[in-house]
Amino acid sequence: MAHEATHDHHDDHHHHAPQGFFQRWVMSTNHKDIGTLYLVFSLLMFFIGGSFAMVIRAELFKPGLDLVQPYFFNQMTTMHALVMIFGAIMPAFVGLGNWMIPLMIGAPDMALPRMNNLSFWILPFAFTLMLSTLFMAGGGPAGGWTMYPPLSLQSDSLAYVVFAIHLMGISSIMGAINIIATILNMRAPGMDLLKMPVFVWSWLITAFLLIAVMPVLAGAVTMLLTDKYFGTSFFNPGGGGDPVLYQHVFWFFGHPEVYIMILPAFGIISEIIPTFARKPIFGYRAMVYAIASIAFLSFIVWAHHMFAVGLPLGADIFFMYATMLIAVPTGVKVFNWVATMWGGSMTFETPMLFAIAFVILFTIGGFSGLMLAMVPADFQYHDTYFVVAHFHYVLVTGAAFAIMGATYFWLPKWTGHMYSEFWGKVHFWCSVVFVNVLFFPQHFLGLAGMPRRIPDYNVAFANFNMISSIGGFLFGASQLIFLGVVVHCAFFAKKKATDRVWEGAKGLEWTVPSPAPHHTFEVPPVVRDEELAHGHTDD
Amino acid sequence: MASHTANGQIEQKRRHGVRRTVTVLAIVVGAFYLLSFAQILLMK
Amino acid sequence: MTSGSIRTGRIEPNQHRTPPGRWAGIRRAGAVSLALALALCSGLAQANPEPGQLNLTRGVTTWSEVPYFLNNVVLGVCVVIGILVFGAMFIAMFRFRKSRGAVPEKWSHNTMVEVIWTTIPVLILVALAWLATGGLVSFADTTGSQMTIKVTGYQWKWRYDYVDYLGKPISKVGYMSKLDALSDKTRQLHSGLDPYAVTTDGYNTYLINVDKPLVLPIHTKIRFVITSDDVIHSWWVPQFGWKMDAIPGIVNTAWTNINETGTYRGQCAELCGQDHGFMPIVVKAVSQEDFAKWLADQQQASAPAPAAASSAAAPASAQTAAAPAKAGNG
Repeated sequence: MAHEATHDHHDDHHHHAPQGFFQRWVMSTNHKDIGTLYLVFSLLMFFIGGSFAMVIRAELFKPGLDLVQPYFFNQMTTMHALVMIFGAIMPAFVGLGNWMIPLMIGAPDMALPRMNNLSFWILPFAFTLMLSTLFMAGGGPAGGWTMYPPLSLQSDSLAYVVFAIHLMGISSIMGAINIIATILNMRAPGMDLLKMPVFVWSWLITAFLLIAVMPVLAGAVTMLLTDKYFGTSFFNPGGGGDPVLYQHVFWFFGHPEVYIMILPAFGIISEIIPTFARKPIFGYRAMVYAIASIAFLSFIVWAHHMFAVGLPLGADIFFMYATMLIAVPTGVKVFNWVATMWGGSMTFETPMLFAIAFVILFTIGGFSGLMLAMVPADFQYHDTYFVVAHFHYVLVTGAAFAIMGATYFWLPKWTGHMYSEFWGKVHFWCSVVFVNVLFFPQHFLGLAGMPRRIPDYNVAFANFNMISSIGGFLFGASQLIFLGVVVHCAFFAKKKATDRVWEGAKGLEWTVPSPAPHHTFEVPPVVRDEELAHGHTDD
Repeated sequence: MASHTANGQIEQKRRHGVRRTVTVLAIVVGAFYLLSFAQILLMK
Repeated sequence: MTSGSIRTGRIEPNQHRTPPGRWAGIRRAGAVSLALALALCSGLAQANPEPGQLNLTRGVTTWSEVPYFLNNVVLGVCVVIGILVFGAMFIAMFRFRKSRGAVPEKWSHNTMVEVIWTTIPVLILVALAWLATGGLVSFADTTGSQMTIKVTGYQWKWRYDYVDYLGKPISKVGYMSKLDALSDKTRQLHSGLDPYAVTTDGYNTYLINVDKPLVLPIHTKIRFVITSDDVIHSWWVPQFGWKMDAIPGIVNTAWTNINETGTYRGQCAELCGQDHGFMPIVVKAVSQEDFAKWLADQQQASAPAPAAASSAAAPASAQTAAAPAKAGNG
């Protein structure tokens, strides 16, 4: 039994962790410590990005400009998106992957531990560079996170943002290479690819997406940089360029990027639901194939972000059909989650609550996605608050809820203590109520004709904006409960977590002690199918 | 860390596998970076 | 700016003014899913947007039914699927709780069920795709237009140039259209002015009113050629049912055929800088007789002024001059 070897470390697991703070955290090559760093960084960025959102919702609280100048408002919308996407959601998933993938596949660490350290420590510098522009004379980027030229070329902070994005891209690419190398080469003997947890599968596929599209983003922003400072005309019609080409290249990155932010969430939900339903996941292979098909389709739907740029009729039709096709594998996933719950024996701890909310609210985001795919209707929806509502349902109640659920799910394994179930549930119910107060009225605003990214609006939009803002403030405040629960669990909680933590938990990560010792699986564990969450893959 | 691994054979296999994976992926990254420029030039 | 970068609109299928009939029938049938929104819409035909509006506007043109109808159909489909899926979930959450003594079952797949819930969505999607494609093809058909308007986006205002009407070229009729003075004064930071006080004909027009609206005749197929002089904008009047990006170096085309006289308001729909929220669009749709009179007045007014020469190419740049040339063929 492999666990005996790791159990030896249980009593003196601090023995292997470096003693000094600097040594331990800055010089770390340990996947668990780096995972923790990623998660802490992501939480910090979540609050910074959230504070930008508070500025936005405060300005939109009622008609009339009361707080900020329009240009600063545009900086807020731009920075909110960049920080949340590249600073909060993506690093959170990388952190979860870092922590859990080696534990789930029985590897001693990531395949490239030193590169792992580098890919994390690039991020604080990248975000310092980007956020510093807010304090400069010309202000931060204000052309939207998509940075469409020619507008983005008018910004003085373009170079800072481009370099920051290059750094984030390098970090993501190194992280992705590391994850693929780990999953393909470091699995314990007997951990076949089709016995891996769905979370590991989702990260494997996500990492391939990252590798394919982050270089394309780097290329696109490099061309912006040379257009602004070195006299090229990639996107300048005056020099024979074409601004629409930027959008094609950007969305070739941008659409897979959307799935980079949701596929690991699918994986997390596919771990949480079977655990609390005490029943194996329904259609394991179908789940894996669905993730793979969504990933494939994500490469051929990019222009559905551009239906209003005047694409040729044939292109409109192709991208509409391809986009609608994504509803099929996504539907399969949702149906399979429901089927996993059906016939189970469910309990509703906080991770399960977040997972159930994810399935319902992500599906609502999927529905509005299907509506947006219909090109004639998209001519109306495009660039309105309907789109804002859509992608916040997918990214907040989708990706962010999955990350929160995952945090509650694995926090006892990380810290060795149980979090406060009461406060976890308070956090859940506050979040799930207020997030709907925040985003649901935005559907109506969009349908009624309110464009995105405007700092002020006609009084006809006043009522729903005020409701949305109130929801926003309360949702933002609710996240302080989350912070409190996590800090309490990490430093003050008394209740010890068992090794298995949850009654229905299956998989290698639950065979190591809680908290997980500094080094695990130094000797590859003996994998026994019945101990795995997905050991019997007869379907 | 890998050096603690008792089983030297597995260690060896992993090392080779990781090297090969990283080489292939690094080439893919470079190719996609260049592809974004190629796409622009081809569509001109 | 090279002419090589100009992309000529879209493929124009050889259909001649087909769609209105089909969609008008649906419109008159009044197939509406959200009765509340309809009630709000019908109350004030002029007013757009409505306070408290919940659904898309059904619009006032021959084509604007298409997105409205499609929106209602897809919304209905989503609601039905949602009820089924969420219903099953809630039943599962109620029946299969551990606290009710549920014992977990062992099964984890069922090929029959999986095939069914893969196939049925495909069939639904095919039906939706068929509906959407029809509407899209009719939108792409800009042939047979009786009038051409050139729309040019600027930071942060619009320019309208009347290119031709009923086969006759028009010159020297064109003007800028920007946010009205009262809205502009009110929207300044800490202006102390009340947005609720900005009204036109009893309807609040804060940020959706202009100094000089675009005047268009009803019952006329109007072709728009849309471009920009600086950054990307997007020309959007919700009552027309579409928006189209105004992109420097590119001329996009779209069309409309307005059914009812009235004033229709929209806004720029693509982030274009600090005053993106402050470049509204107002269309005043008038009868053909009124329009002919108005156009004659405009031509007369501009005739003696040599400075206004060649209004069609007023923002003097090569790529915008291509628009009238193209319009001549249409």
